Amino acid sequence: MTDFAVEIRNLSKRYRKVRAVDGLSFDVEAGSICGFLGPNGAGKSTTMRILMGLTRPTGGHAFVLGHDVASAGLSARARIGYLPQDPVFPAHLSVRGLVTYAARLHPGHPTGRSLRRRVDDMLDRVGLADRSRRRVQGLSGGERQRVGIAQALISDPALVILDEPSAGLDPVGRRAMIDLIAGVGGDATVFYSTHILDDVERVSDSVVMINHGSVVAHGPLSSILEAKGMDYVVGLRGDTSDLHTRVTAQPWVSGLISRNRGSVEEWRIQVSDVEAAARDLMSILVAGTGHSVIEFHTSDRRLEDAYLELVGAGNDN
Amino acid sequence: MSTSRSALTRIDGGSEFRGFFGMLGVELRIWFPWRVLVLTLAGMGVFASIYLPWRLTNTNRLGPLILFAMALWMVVLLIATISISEGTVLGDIERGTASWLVGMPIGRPAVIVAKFAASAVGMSAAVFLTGGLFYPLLKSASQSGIVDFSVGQLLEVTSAPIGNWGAYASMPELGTYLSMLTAISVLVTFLVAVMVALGTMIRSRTAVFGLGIVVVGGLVAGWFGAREALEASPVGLVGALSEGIQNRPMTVGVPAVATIALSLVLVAVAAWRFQRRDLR
Repeated sequence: MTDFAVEIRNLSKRYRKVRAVDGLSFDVEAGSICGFLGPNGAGKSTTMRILMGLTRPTGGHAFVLGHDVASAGLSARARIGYLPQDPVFPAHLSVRGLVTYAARLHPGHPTGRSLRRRVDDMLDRVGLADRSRRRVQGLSGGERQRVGIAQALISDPALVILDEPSAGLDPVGRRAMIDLIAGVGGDATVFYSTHILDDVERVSDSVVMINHGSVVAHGPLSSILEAKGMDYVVGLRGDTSDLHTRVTAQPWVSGLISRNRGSVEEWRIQVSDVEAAARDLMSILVAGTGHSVIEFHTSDRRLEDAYLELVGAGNDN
Repeated sequence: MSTSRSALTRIDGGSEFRGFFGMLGVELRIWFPWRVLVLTLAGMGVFASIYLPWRLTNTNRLGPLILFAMALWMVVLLIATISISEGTVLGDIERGTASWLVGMPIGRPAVIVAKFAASAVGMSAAVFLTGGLFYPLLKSASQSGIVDFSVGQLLEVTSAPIGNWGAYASMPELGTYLSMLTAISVLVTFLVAVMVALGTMIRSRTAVFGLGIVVVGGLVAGWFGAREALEASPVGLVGALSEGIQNRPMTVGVPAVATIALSLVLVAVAAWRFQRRDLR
């Protein structure tokens, strides 16, 4: 078995003059839960559609579970569970009918009583056991997403691809979705796109971040956060204008965000060289007159900080 | 989860028709029973709208009225076929259902062929059901000697050019009647194939609908203008129908086989086009 559930090599997709995906290369380790991040229009959905054989790439290769999606997409899809963005299912089917249909489309599916039991278990797992007879078209947005998860998982896939599974869900629904994703992890590889970075931090082991169709960061979540340095939180009183100039002049300071908290000025200092900051920052802060340091501690770097730094705050269109 | 995985993840090459029967079953559920029933009731409604006034007024002009009902039924059927099948593929692409479906381990040709087959079977079932329900009505009217009619009477009713039909026509024999229903069903199947093929080539449902009407117009124009040259084609079936309705010997075989062959070519083209199409 391959070590990677998804391997993408120099993948490109052009729509006339628009480059939706531009030389994308990354891997998703088998068994991992990988968050796929990027602003709207970055190429996430296009990449996922290429993996599912819905869209043909104009360049490069994509392999899913060792199968080239261009030549053996059918074999690959037999082992993938997929939830499209804004899924639309056949409206005439009931919840149970849809999940059963999805199961039957997979080779080697269980039949008879064992299929019924499997569908029952799945509907129970996604909390739709009491809605099983309802038509799909009559469901709320959250319920439809849960049906989407049920049909994606019913075939016991080796890889689950979810395109914005939490989109449009209320906080309770979102939490339930994240719990489902976490529950799938370990048995299967989960590759999912989202804009909710808290969710990624909560359940993902790795992250692929793209922008304008290209990878800007890729790897284990912890290493991405560490690579982006550390933050110091400093509380100051008094005149800080000279101090601000001295701190931002340091080569290892990559950013300084200031905000007032009553009479206290709070600085979040982003440092790129943790060693240098540990050695010099405190001495710089206490040197000089006219101000006093009333708070000083480090803060864990959040994914949101790394995302904004890598992708750009004003990029989300 | 891992206990049943070995049974579920058996991978084998994979034919492009994998999943066909599963999908056909679901597609047929769209047609049976409700859609077929509605189409049948619509067809019966057309006949009833002609038959009931006659019963009430007791006129002896049932013959041309029945012929008019048959013509009206054909128009209703063809428009229904175009309306329903223009969305068979394109509607699924526009709604996004196709993206979900193609994301399953089912070949794209299987999707097209299953949709075509279900529509063809559903429409044909509606044709035979309507025709079957109407036949006893026709027969009883015929036995009471009121179905025979003259072209003159027909012209009074329809005011339409009807070609070189004989002065009188009578109730078709059962064999002829079944051949007529077969011809109608093959014609409808051809139209479904046309609409499915157009749905994979054109991105506008309005344009697909319009072209479907153009194809029907082309068949009628072909029947008026070049029926002999186009006998081994759907136009030949239109001609055969006009013979059958006058209780004359019909030549259904050659045009029906040619029309079915043409339909299969259109479905193959649709499958090829759909295979190459990007879905969102």
